[in-house]
Amino acid sequence: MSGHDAAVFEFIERVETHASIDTLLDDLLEVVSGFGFQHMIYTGLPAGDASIATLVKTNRFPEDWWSRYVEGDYARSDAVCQQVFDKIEPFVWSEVDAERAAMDGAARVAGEAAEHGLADGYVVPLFSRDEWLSVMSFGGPDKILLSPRERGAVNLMAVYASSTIERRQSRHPRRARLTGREREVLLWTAAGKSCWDISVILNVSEQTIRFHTAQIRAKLNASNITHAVVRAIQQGEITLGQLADSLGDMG
Amino acid sequence: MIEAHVVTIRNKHLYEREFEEFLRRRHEYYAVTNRWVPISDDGLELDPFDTPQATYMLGIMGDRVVTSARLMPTSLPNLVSEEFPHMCENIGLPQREDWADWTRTYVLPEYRGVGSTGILGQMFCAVMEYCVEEGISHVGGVLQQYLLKRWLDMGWNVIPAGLPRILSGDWCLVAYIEVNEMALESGRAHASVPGPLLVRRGEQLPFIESAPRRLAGAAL
Repeated sequence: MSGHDAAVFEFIERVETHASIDTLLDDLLEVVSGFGFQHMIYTGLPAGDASIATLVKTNRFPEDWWSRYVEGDYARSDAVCQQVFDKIEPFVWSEVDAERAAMDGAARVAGEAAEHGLADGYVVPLFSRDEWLSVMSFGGPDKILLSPRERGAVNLMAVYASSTIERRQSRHPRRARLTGREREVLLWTAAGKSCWDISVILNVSEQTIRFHTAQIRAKLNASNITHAVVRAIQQGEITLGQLADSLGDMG
Repeated sequence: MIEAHVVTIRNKHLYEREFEEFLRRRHEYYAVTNRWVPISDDGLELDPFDTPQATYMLGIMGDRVVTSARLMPTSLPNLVSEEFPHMCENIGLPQREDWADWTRTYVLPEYRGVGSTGILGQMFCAVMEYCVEEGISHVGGVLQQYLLKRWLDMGWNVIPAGLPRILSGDWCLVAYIEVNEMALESGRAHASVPGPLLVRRGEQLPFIESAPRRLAGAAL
């Protein structure tokens, strides 16, 4: 057994012992760095018109890449993501079927991913505990070359890590709270400001604001921003008083 | 909910119809429809491990056998020892009477629901229940990678015997589950199984010759 294999079996032995999901992910990324990976995500795949943002379980992709991916709804033109819907088996990103790689927008998604340090990767399709088609996907800055044994090793770690993550998350259901900045964006939106207006007010890019609004909708499980405002009041994320104040700013 | 009837050489005569029905349905699916195994003359699917030492569990709903399992001590020839010993590079090939080889778990296609509360989860619980009662310490064998996730999702500790490999187009591996009361409880909670599923009729055959069974009401 190679040193590589030993590291994989040792990871599996300690996968249940981590104090938190974060330390588990640190450990996983450390072990898979030996295969050329630096980033990973564990997420359900969106069916129909749904956004992928609500389906993410753990995310260690570069933040600016992920905000672009969600905001641009890249899952729909991402050849890797689309191939998983058809063939539920693991593959290296750069081995994606040629005709899928040639589909509209696919080259742009792959090119932008490469600019964000995700030039190539390996995706492991999985069924979540509630039987939703999901993936654990690993990415890195260089071309990925994996032997069949190494593929088996990454598959095995993905299966163990995904199950541990889901069991932890179901024991401590994550009620995602809005961040201070998200609350601010929501209140400005409720006051009728556009993403561009808010970007000027908060002195950040419009893209960042779009990302925040996507996160807000995801966290509140809301279909649009009006719905999000209602849910935020229901869940105590914002108060009617705050809402009245922000509406007052319009005057 | 299924009833999981324990069938061995000792009480097989009580289950002749059920046993044949199940082998026939498996044969139709594996051999005739999918050509995964050779078509047999009698229309039943049997392999070299259908021996007098095998223990079967027939998952019965109404009057139909909808799922099954077959267990064999790893101290005897079994599917892993005869065909996949090279897939045990992590822990070596198990050869112990209290480590059981688990094969033949299959759900009739028309009974395949979606979700953890389906027939497959019930059969998993029945196998764990049997293993706890019989003093088996580990149960497992060769399985598809996606089923490993189902075992782990039951809250079970699973030891990978080796790395996954592609067998007939599917990622498969050899792995063994640790048997204990906690695993039975967490499995039942996940699969929404309220209590025991095993049914024992007629004379029983202990899985481990030397070990006393932990059967409720069988103190003598």
